[in-house]
Amino acid sequence: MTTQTAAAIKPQVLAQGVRILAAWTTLGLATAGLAATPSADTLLKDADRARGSTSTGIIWRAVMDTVDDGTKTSVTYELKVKGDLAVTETIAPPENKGEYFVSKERNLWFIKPGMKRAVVISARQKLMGPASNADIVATNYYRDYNGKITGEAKIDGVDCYTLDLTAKAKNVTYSGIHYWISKADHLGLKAEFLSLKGDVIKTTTFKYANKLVVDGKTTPFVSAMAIADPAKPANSAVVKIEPPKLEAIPDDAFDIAKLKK
Amino acid sequence: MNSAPFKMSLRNLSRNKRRNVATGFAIALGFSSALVLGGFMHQAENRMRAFTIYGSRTGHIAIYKKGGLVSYEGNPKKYSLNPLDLAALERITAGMSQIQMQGPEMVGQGLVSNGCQSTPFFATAIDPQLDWKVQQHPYNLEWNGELVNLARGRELWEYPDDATVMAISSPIASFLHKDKPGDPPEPSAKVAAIDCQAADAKDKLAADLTVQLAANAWNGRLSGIDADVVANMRTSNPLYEGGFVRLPFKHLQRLYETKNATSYSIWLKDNDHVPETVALIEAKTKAAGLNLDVYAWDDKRLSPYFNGTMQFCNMLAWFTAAILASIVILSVFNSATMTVIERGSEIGMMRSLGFTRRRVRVLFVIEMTMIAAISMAAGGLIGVVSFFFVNRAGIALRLPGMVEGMTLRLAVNPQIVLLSATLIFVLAIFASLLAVWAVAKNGIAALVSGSHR
Repeated sequence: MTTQTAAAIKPQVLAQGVRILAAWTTLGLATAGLAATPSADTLLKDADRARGSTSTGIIWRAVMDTVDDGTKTSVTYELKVKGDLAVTETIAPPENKGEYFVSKERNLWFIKPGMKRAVVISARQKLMGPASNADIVATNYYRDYNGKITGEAKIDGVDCYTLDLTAKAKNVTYSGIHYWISKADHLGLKAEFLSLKGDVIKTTTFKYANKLVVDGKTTPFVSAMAIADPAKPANSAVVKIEPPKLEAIPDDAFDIAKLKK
Repeated sequence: MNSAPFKMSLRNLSRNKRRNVATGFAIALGFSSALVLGGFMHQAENRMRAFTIYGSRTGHIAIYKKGGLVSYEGNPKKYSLNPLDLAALERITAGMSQIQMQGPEMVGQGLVSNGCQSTPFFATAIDPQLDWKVQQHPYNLEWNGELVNLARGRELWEYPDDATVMAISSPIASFLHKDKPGDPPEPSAKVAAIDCQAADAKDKLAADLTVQLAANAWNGRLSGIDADVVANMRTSNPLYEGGFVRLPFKHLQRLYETKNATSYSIWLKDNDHVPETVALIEAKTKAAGLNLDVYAWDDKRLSPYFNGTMQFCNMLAWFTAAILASIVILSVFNSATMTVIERGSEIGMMRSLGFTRRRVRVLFVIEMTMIAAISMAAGGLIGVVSFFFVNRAGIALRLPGMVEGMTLRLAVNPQIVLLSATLIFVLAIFASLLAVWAVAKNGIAALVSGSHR
């Protein structure tokens, strides 16, 4: 190769190198952008965790203030959750003390003092009254729904992913859910629960002022929920949740037979 | 009275025997058909009346909160009768001598569970002792005594007042494995645990009479009670067949955690004074400042099955009666016309002997009337025989809004007998008169020569 030839080739190699570098840089930037958008499953798992869906035991108390056709009630519950198991005990008022809701997978049982056995409430039967509010509090989105990210929106000024959830099985309470999950910390901020026709049956918003420390890591935890019925705007349910605590809960704490008094 | 025309007409019956027999047969069949149709309508109306007032516990008069008949299900707390309403109604009706019995009733929905499965229910509730009086009313027993509301078990009124017993419809009983009802266990009896997945779960569920009822209490909470299945029953409404339950009034109140009632029912001593009693109660409740609706049992808003069915049956009956009447009148007219035309010469002879046109017409009318009378006697006999065989045949009948178990039972309706007989006589006279009128107007010569044809 002559010096003149090498000198002629140099700019071409340099240009080629620049082009290759540009291509890799672009690819790198694009790949980095893709990795920044989490999957719907990840979003659902993270959001559920912040509402109590963990494999270890969590206990917390909640006060539900309900307005139902003009009647106001206030009920205090103690909730114990462990994986797919949940038991809600009514603590107050005194006339309702000792009532239990037990949730196992997708079924719900209700028992109160004086009853010999619990009433099993299947998924579609949970659309009635207090059972529907309890079901919304306990809903496990990742387990029960397939999620699809449909876009982005703001809820109270917070950037969110919007997701459409469709039921994984026939025995799931709602056919679909519109869900808003914050982009920054993967917290579910709003959910609209849909009928078979796609009408909104209930709307729920969530707040996360509580903290939960798991394995030394502090994570936000739900502190309030507001449940509204679009068909009856005057009706509402507001749930205020006290700070939770981790606790090893034995499996028999979720055994209906042992709860019956 | 001159019996000569009657003797002449009677003698003339033996002429044209075949035609007279055929005409008589048409009249007899028409009359017996009218009797059978009337008998069916009579029994259908009385059975449905008895079932509406007593069988389904509606009462002669039903009282609801204003708008409650329509809106109660959507907002039971707002559209139910509260304790003040109920107390006021008792005061208002006290001393009304036409009232035989009365009391509150309740309806509602919820879930019934056997501990392994649950299904929705629709419940009605009445005090069992009041229910016993209602069901045992003589009018109800006369018309619907053969109806058995229960497929298995015993009625709620056979148990103590505080027993939380219930009757459930047969399909729901099968679903929950409570199709072997019996007497409730002792309160102290232990509750056996049932593993819903075990092979013997169905047997254990069948052996345990207790079910759990859950519902939205009227205070917004979820409520639940136990109840023992002592009967499986039939229902009158196919829409509710799969989920119908009946339990004592105070226990359904307990389930909904309320002292209210859906409605208040009043049974009178007879069926005759309903409209005026309704008006009286309306006036008194208005004067007392109560915001109530008072309905007569046959108000179409309260008893759509009765009204709809009777409207249909009446329309069908009148249509059939019109066809029968047409057949009879055409048969009689045809026969009378042919007779008169053929006996034109005879008419001419009678006219030539001094019979007036009027007298000739009367003779033929008497003849046709005799045929009608003999035919109706025969028709009546055919009707009685038909009643006998139909009633013995045990033909199953289910009228809309009534439970199964009914058999077709024709009943003599005196009004229909009188109306049918009168109508047939009138039609026979009219048809024969129509046939002979024009012919009798012809001149003697035309009649004798036969040129009037």
